[in-house]
Amino acid sequence: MKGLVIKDLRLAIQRRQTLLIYLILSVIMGMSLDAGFVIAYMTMLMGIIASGTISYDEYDNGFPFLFSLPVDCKTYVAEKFIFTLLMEVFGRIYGTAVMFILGLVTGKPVETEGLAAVLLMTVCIISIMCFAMIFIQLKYGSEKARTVMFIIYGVVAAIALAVKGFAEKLGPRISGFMAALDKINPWVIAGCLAAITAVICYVIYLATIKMMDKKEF
Amino acid sequence: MISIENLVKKYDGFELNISMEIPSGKVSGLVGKNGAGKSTTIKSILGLVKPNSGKVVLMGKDVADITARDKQKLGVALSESGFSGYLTVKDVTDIMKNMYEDFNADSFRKLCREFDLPMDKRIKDFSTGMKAKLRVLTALSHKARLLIMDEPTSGLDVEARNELLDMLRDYLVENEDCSILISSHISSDLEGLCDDIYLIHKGRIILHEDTDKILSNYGILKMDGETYEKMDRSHILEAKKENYGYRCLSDEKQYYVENYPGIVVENSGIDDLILMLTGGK
Repeated sequence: MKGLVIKDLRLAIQRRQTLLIYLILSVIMGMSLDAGFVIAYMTMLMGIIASGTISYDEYDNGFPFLFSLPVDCKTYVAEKFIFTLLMEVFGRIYGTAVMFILGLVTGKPVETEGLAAVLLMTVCIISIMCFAMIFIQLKYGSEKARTVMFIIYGVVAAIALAVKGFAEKLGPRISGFMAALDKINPWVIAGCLAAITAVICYVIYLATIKMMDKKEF
Repeated sequence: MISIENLVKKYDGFELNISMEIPSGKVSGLVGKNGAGKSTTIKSILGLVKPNSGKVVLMGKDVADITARDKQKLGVALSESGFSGYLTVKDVTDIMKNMYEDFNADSFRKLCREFDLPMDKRIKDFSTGMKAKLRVLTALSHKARLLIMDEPTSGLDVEARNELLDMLRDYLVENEDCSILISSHISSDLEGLCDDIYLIHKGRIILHEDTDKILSNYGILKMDGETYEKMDRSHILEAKKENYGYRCLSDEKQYYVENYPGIVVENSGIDDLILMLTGGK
């Protein structure tokens, strides 16, 4: 596992110019945008860079050799998920640090109200998205995965719009339900959200291992 | 070390159906034309493709049960697959150090220097020869008990091929118990290295013989049509009609030297074997 993490770190550093642009961009964005957005954005970018190491593994038919090393499918998949999480944590810490340092420098305090909720929501969504991306990249290869992800984003956006429209139509009828939700302790909602995310991520992890076990190189 | 029992792997228009046995401490060569099934055999041994039926036992274990720990004792060099081209030899050294218990970083670095492999250059910018050398050096760097090499000399010039083969010979001297399975379509590479040779053609093993026996007993016989018709053909493996008569492959050339003085008898190499047995008649 340690060898794989080192490999992925070295591969992630290959995109050092992109990485540098992202890091500088976050500072520029931090001057005008709110903290929640910048932190979520950095988390997302780091997740994408981490899952993007798969395309380097795949480069020049690299998988047959990779799986002749002391690596099994389960370890490979686990490492990709862990590495992605570590990169997301780095993006989160970096984004947070940028916002607080900017706050100190500019004298404009960071808006912390509702920040925890935004961060939790984004952690959950980004983790599911990145893990799904790992599954799709390993199943279809990096080239096809781009098309598949594009289709998935389109479907998700369509569903979100449909749900929004449906909720607006039902507005008066679900107002009671919404009011009941408001009464629930936010930490309970956060806990439920984290638990649901953990279950979804675990299911994606198991599905990825199963898919890789059947794969031929 | 490797035991393959009735392994069947089917693809569209191709079926591999083989049995092989590679004992401990032996160097076996797998030769055949391009597309004969050499790489599929090697991938099946490594568990990279799943057989339709049959059994592959690797280092005493069914290949499906081989763990990452078991692979510590395996050194692999594949013809068209290696570490990502975006990595450098320096990166590879650090990765190997953290992957293999017996990886000797100092010795690996020393060998890389000896073979003029730059430490900080991306592998994708290496020449074909440099990439091949790195693949073989990587396989030899962690005291593997079993080396599996698929066309390690493919695409190399004579000098680079000899360098690589010398590396393998040195490794064998230092690690006497090590077994090697090496595939190549350049059979002369294998003549000075292998104890025995498997000849694969259209997914079948059509010959398995000791290299010494091939080089000492096998021969090419050349004769006119009349002699061919009258002669004892019990030791003729394959015959090919030529404009002067017949060209035959025999596994007992001495028999024909002694009994048919009019026949031209030439020593044969593995290349002759391939030519006669896979393209004869």
